[in-house]
Amino acid sequence: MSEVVIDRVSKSFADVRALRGVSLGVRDGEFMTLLGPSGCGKSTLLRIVAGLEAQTAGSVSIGGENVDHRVPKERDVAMVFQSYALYPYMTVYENMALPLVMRRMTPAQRLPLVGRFVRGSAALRRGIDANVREVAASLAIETLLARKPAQLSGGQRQRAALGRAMVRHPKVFLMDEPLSNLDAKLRTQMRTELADLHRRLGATFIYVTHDQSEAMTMSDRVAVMMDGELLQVATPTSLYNDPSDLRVAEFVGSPKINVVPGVVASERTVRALDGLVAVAAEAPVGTRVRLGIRSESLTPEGADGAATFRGRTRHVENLGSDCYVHVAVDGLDVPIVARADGRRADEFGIGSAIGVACDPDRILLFDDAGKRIPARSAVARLRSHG
Amino acid sequence: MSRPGVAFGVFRHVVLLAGAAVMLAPFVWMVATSFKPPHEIFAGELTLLPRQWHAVENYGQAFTKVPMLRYLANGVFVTAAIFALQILVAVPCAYALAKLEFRGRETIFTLTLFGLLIPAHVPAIPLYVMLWKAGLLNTYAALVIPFVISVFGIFLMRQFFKSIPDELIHAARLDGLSEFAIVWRIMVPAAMPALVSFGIFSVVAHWNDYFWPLLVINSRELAPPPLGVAYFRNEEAGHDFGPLMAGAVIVTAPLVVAFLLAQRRFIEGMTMTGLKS
Amino acid sequence: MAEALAPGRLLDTAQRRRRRAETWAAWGLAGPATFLLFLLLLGPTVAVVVLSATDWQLGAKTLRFVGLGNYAELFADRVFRQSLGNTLLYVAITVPASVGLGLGAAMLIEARTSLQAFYRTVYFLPVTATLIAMAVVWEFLFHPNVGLVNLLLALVGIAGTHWLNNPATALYALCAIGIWQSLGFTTVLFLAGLKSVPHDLYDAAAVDGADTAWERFRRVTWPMLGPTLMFVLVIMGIRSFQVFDTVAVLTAGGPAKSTEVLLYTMYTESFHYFRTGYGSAITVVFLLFVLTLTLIQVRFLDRRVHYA
Ligand SMILES: Nc1ncnc2c1ncn2[C@@H]1O[C@H](COP(=O)(O)OP(=O)(O)OP(=O)(O)O)[C@@H](O)[C@H]1O
Ligand SMILES: [Mg+2]
Repeated sequence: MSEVVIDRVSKSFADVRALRGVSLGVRDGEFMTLLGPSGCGKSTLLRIVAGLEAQTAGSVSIGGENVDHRVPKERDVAMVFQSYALYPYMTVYENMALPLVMRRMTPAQRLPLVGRFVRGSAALRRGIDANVREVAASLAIETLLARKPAQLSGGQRQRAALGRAMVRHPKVFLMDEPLSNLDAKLRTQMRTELADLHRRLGATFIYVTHDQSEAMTMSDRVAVMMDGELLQVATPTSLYNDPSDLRVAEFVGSPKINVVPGVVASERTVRALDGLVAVAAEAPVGTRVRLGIRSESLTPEGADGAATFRGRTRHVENLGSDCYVHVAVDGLDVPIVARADGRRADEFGIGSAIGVACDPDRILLFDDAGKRIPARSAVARLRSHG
Repeated sequence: MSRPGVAFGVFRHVVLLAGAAVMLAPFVWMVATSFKPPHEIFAGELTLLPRQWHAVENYGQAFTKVPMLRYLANGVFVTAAIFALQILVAVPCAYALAKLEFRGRETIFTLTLFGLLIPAHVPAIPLYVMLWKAGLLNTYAALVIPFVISVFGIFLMRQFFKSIPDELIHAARLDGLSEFAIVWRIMVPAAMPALVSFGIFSVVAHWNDYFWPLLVINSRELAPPPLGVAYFRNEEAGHDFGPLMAGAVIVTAPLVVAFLLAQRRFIEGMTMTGLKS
Repeated sequence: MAEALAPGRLLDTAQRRRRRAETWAAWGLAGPATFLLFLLLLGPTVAVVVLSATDWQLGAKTLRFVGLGNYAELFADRVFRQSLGNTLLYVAITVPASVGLGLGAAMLIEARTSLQAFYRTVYFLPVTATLIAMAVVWEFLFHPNVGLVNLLLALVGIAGTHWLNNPATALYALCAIGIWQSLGFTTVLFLAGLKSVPHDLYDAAAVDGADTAWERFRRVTWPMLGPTLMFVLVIMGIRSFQVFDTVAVLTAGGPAKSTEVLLYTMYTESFHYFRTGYGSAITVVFLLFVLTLTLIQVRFLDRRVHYA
């Protein structure tokens, strides 16, 4: 069993509180992604799990055992770094063999030159060789084993770094933005490969990224972090559809979720901009709220219809399959973005008046502090004031 | 190119070649004289090549009248021992200063910077007294021990180690390397260029050093090359220039040849002395 | 907050033990060097200062503190005053000459591409050569009858002298050797300095109308080379203060003390006459001069940081 439990871990550097009591349980064999903007403490948390950094408070256990007192090599975790951290003057083979050499061979057997004459070292070397070649084959890098890291492409380096992590079959893989140095196409390809690898190995993965699409495509669950705090831990689907915090809703999903301020008007309506929206907020009348509306819940239509919001077309982003219409609305600083079928892209003239219809069932309500307010039920009805 | 351009080009070469002639003259004259028999040397003629070759005799004498091979061997042994020990002491310290956090780090680094300000001649008297009390005067140990610590080496290697990314060290820790193993398996190979520069700096400084051997050595068997040349010169009382020049050629040749083979590295290594002060 | 205490207490033991292990490892790595730093450099330096306040003679069983007595004696001593004067004169000649010539050589070498590497190599050659061996060669070059110097002078009808044996010329002869030996060093440092002057600046200056060689030098090269120049001056100052080898082998401070220099005086007083306390005082004076030069450089570098 190799679940990882992070219990109220805090970390302060001289004047920065990088982590503020983060608690997170990662299940055995799970692909967990730590997602958050730059500087939110993801790497710090990962390094604490690895034992490379000591937490200021809290504890970490792996496989049910507290590991706070253990140095990195005793924790049976492997790490893949953003810069790959391959030893530059060693070949790929030597890079991959080193973790095994350090673990299986005695100091005498490891000695350069003389080491090979120490008893048992030949057999151990053969075993290590077999392991290295097996892993190299599974990553399709057998032909690169004799090369130095400088002679490899980005993707090949990435695989070599993965290989070094895999050879000793660790309980837990820790990955700190391993794809961020790759070009866009390779990154997409490696995503699939990593997800495959995770299924094949069945090991626990903790994966750090600030790229939400990486998080959404690969993970079993995603932990969203901000400013040293954990905001929500959930599957990609519920993270997207059921965020518990406005910051999560804003961070996950592209284009960014539309946020419209409003006030609870009655038991079943919220006044937003100049209109009444039929959402039933579990909050007293008069409470200030914010409505989070994803662009796919908004449909651009004629200015005269029973639209929820009205404004003028600012910009049309045509992606082919879909198009995103940016609508400047009075009373909002940022335009509202609504999605339409790509074939309609030419309908919207820049500067012309436009209305936007909204599916009230899919509106997310947040209180003033950004916490989610559950909606009681919603009736798709809409009244508008002249 | 314009006419003044050509004129300047000629002027540049004339001046620089004249300078080069002055710089080279001692070397040329040294080699030329080492080939000449005494009567040609004392004829006071301005000729480069001898009429009668006396090279075999001169170089033969340089090797037989004084234990020249022994001097060279002493030089090789002492410079190698000094460099090896300097690395052994300085590199782990430089790594700790560059990459580890521990109480006392700033203090050690400050002391190292203080050390950089002190010329090698300053601690000479107490070091001499220490070696004398320890009964080590006139031994190889006396030649080596004072230079085992190289503050400059610590400083230089620390600067270099700082430029190695932390992730490499983190990877090594996860791969199961101890701090000690990280120093020798990861940092040292990655720092080879800096080590080579420092090696050149160290070897040149100690191969050429005269002050310290003069203080602590008084037997021929232990003399490094500069001291050997000085002995040779004193015995010849400045009369038998042929063998003396041959001796000078022999002592100078190793570093000069090494310099000609690896100029860029040498200039890098030697101008680092600049940093030292 | 109260609930956070439990893991906090765990930390007290486990984490602290780990951190202590790390500190041990760090000291294991840095400890030997630190110990040797005290034993071989800092300790002895302090010891020299202490010894300079005593009348200790090497091997003597007793010693007496004499305060500044040694220093009073030093500055009353004609030989020491001459030694100090000679050293300063040696520095005053060698430094400007090797810096000026080095700058000139570097600018000429850098001005065009042809034979650059050749010149750099030739000028640097003396820096690597064993100075003691080359000193012996120079002694031969300065030989009154068969030395190259006098032979060449005779060609143009000048009667040479016994350069190293003449009190009027000996120190200057040593200066010449010193300049010859360090010229390549300054040249290479200036070459590096010149390389770091961005070429755009020359183009900009040309556009602004500074297109003669002199104007280019005055408006671009010289100001840009300022920091390098300061650096080279101080380095050369410190190197020249340490003149010893040529004196020890060629003149032994003579003739008539005309080439007595600080380190050589220190050497004879401490290791020939065994006046350790007195020799220590000379060492301290030497150290003060070198430190002053270094401080000038540090001050100057600080100022540059402010301007930057
Ligand atoms: N060694 C350190 N000393 C001081 N502050 C640090 C240190 N390491 C990290 N921090 C601070 O801790 C905070 C979190 O850093 P961390 O590296 O964990 O961010 P991150 O989420 O990984 O960001 P990124 O996506 O940019 O890698 C940052 O504010 C950072 O400046
Ligand atoms: Mg990070």
